[in-house]
Amino acid sequence: MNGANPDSDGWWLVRSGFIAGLVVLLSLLLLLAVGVGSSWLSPERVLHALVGAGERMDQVIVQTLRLPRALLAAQAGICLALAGALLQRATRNPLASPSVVGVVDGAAVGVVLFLWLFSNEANALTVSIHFQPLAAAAGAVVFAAIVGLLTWLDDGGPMRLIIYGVAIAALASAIVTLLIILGPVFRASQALIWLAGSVHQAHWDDVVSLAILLAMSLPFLALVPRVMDQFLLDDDTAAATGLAVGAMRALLLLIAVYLTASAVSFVGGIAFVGLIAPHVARLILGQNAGPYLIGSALIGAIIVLASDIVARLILAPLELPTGAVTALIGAPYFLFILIRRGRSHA
Amino acid sequence: MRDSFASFEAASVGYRETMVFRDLTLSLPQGRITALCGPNGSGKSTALRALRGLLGLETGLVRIGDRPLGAWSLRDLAKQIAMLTQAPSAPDEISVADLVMLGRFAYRRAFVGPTAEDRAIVDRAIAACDLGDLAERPLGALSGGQSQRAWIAMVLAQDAPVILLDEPTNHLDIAHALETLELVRSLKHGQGKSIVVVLHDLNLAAKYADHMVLFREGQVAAEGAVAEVFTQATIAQVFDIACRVIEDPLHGRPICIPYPKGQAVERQAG
Repeated sequence: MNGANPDSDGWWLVRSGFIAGLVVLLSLLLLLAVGVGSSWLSPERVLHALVGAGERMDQVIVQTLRLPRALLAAQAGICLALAGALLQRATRNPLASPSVVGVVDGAAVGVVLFLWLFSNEANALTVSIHFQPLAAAAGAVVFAAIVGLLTWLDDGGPMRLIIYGVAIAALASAIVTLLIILGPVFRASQALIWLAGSVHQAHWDDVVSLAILLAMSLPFLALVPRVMDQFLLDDDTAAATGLAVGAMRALLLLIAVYLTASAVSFVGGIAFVGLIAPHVARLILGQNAGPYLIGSALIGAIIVLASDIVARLILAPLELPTGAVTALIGAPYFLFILIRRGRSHA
Repeated sequence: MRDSFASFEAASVGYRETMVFRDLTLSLPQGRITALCGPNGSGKSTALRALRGLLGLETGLVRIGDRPLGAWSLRDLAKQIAMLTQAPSAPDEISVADLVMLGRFAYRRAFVGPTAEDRAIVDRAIAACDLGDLAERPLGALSGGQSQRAWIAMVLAQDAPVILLDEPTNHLDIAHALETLELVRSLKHGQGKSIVVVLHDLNLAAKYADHMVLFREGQVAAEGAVAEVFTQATIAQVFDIACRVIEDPLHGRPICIPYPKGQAVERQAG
């Protein structure tokens, strides 16, 4: 791979062009995301406000309201898409996604428990809302660990992992439903917004925290492409080429869980990004792990950012949860993949 | 007997509760084609997987060269033994050249692309398998025989002195089966490889192998040069059939004609 043969230089150029195109598209969407809203800011005013020039009011809108929201959306998209790319490759299953390994529903249990346990009689949280991401992360890690443990005890392959993931995710989602019914009503609506996935309460704190979490995964992500390419092969063949299949699969899954937990802790269960972004990346950039990861990340950011813009505009002044929009786009695409795969395997 | 490149020493392997073979002791000759044959479930494929370290042993030892299997690092072992598995798979979209490059995994370092040596060896492997025109073709667009040659090219790119092949002619028609085994034989002659191949078809095994191991119920029932092992009595006993073994009129290799068990295999006089 990586241009294994001299003839693939043209293909390399095409891929670079695609990636550059995605970067441009993402930049335009960032400008648009900061520009649109209850008051329209032209790209020129946005750029002025970004560099600290322009009107005071523009600066407030851009720097404290819209920019953190746009950046959080983009980062969450990057995390979820990378997690999906790692999962799909590690399990050799194009239908694997962060939500099927129990991580997203596990995080939801954490959040709902947190909202329930730390609410007082006066409908207020007794601790800072800033602890909510920690609760989500704890839930994500606990449930991912249960799925991992079950698979390990079973000595099972990737298919078993997905089956256990689906089962445990269903269990977690049942717990969430129970807690919402049993818990205080006013917390239920708050929990529901989180469950659907939303970036509407973005603060710079969140943006910085998620950026740090994402940055910490970069050294690992830089190391894995060679290994991910080897996972194109079935397990026995990959092992025969010298890959430590079990250990490397566990490593890829761990990074995926870490990235998913990081994202959902801040933005909730934004659906289908982790499934679709890697899929589109594979379609336009091919199977080679380097471009595949970069493309997935960019497309993930584009999907969530674009969805958030739609979520803000479509029923303005009402706002939809971002995850509702990604699901509206994602679910039909998912069906499309299923039907096409069904046909090609018939 | 010649030097051996690997041996089983009282090795036992089991999946979960059932033992596939017990106390297997066997040496594999260097620079030869060794065929592992036997009825379904007799342990031949399992022996091959254990030899490559894809399966752990319950007891006993597999020795590769002068070291036990466990003393080899994964990368060094991959440089020593390459293997074509029974049902290899890769996505339809990747090109033959990209697939063959995956065989170089044990030699490549993180962060850098393929070296000139990697490329040269991949090109040689592609040429050896007569895939020059198909190098940029996606796997999904190849015929069964072509795709088998692409996988063998990947195995060759691993540049190992030992090659294991698990039923390489499965699902191939007779023309492609012969083509594949001719290629395997050319590897022994041209590159001095030691080859172990699991084959279902006894006559193909007799035609191409130098050495033959017959498995029955997890034990070695017979082992030795093809001419010694491939006899009417041994084949009949190992496969639980009646048979005649005659000579290939062209090359003098033995050929087995199987009959249902119990049938008289000599023509009745009168």
